[in-house]
Amino acid sequence: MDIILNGLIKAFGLILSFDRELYAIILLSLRVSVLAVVISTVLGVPVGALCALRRFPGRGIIITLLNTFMGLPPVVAGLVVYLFLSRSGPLGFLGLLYTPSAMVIAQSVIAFPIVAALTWSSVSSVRPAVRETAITLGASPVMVDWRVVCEARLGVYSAVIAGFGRTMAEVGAVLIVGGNIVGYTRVMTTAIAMETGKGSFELAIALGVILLAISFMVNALLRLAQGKGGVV
Amino acid sequence: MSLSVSLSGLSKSFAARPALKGISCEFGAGKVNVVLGPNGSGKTTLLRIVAGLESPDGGSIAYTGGGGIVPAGNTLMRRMTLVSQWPVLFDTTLFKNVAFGLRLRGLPPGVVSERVDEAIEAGGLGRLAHARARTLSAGESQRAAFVRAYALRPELLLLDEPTANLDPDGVALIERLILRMKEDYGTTSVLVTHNIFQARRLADTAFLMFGGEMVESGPASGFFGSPARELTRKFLSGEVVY
Repeated sequence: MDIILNGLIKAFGLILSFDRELYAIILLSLRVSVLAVVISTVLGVPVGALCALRRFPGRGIIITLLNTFMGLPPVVAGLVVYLFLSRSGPLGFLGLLYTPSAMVIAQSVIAFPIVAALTWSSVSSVRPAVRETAITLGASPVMVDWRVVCEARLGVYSAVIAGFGRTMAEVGAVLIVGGNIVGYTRVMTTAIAMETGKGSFELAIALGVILLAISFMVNALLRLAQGKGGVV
Repeated sequence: MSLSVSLSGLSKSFAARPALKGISCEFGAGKVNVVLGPNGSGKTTLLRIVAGLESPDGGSIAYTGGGGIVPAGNTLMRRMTLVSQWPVLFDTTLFKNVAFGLRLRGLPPGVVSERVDEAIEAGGLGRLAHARARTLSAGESQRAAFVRAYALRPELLLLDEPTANLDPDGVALIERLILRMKEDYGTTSVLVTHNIFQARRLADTAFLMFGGEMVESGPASGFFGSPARELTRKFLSGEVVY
């Protein structure tokens, strides 16, 4: 208990100390996760919506793959991205390994199936009568689809929130492709893993508390946006 | 302007169970056409086919307006609308629900706003204009769905039991609006109902369906006054024909 209590006290101390290294880690964590979620949303929402709204060859396989990859172990995602970005890999020429960009790619790979599969699920659950009503009011096929997605918007917001939660909490993939380089690719989760490995439990707990607090604040903001998006 | 609809040999089956068996009839332009019949007689299927929500297995359907046949497509769909027995309102405000179809038609925002306000007032829902649709009662939702159609001033208005969830005041209001649309805009209405009294009040032309077939049709005075078929007489007199 003492370790946890001391960790909490240390967390407040760290926040109030305005330690440059700590804030650099926090900012990089946020930057990587937010970018990964934006990429996953831009790609995942249309893919999920398309699978829900249209019938096309291979749709069933795509849905099964999305559901399967929702449970993709981060270390496996990290390994695959590593192999692609390593010097001998097909994208090695880009020189992205051990950079924040590689971490964004790895986290996008992890978050994309979550956002796409949950979007598919929420858009699929919209009653067929909504589509028919839009048709009878004169909507074009594109406008009908848009209306159906609007009706599923709360589920789509939840998909994005779930994707963000996964990227913020992720450690395995960013450790593999980022390398936990201090001042460059070190993020909250990799810092926690490192401090735990060193036996600095108080610092690890303090970082964990800060990570939770940030995650809470970002989720609260997203929930706020979810509420404001209630009327479309 | 108003549309007329001609059906010729229309048939439709669901899982080998016939719902329509060679229906031929005409819904006259600028008239209130009332389709009567017991449950399962095919009335709703007929209406859904006319609305473009279902494709017939056989037969043809022609929409005529402005001196010529109107081809199927988005232009036709924007000249008509359907109000169903179980109204579906989008998860937004009543105002935005009513504005939806008007915006699709590319009307200027000022005109949209004016038409929405006028329709909502006509439907007696003025105080609920900016309420979320999900907060409306069943009766209010039913009126809202009708108001949404009313605002469009369609040339062809398809109504599937539009007063099923309404109290007598609500029924009277919707009936007044149906007649007002006919008078003011020349709207052709096709009203599916079980309510023989409502049919008598509104119909210019009446139709009786039974078992997927059109039993009888004709001007309301003759249809209700001296029906040609024994089945029609029994149905109108309340005798069981199921």
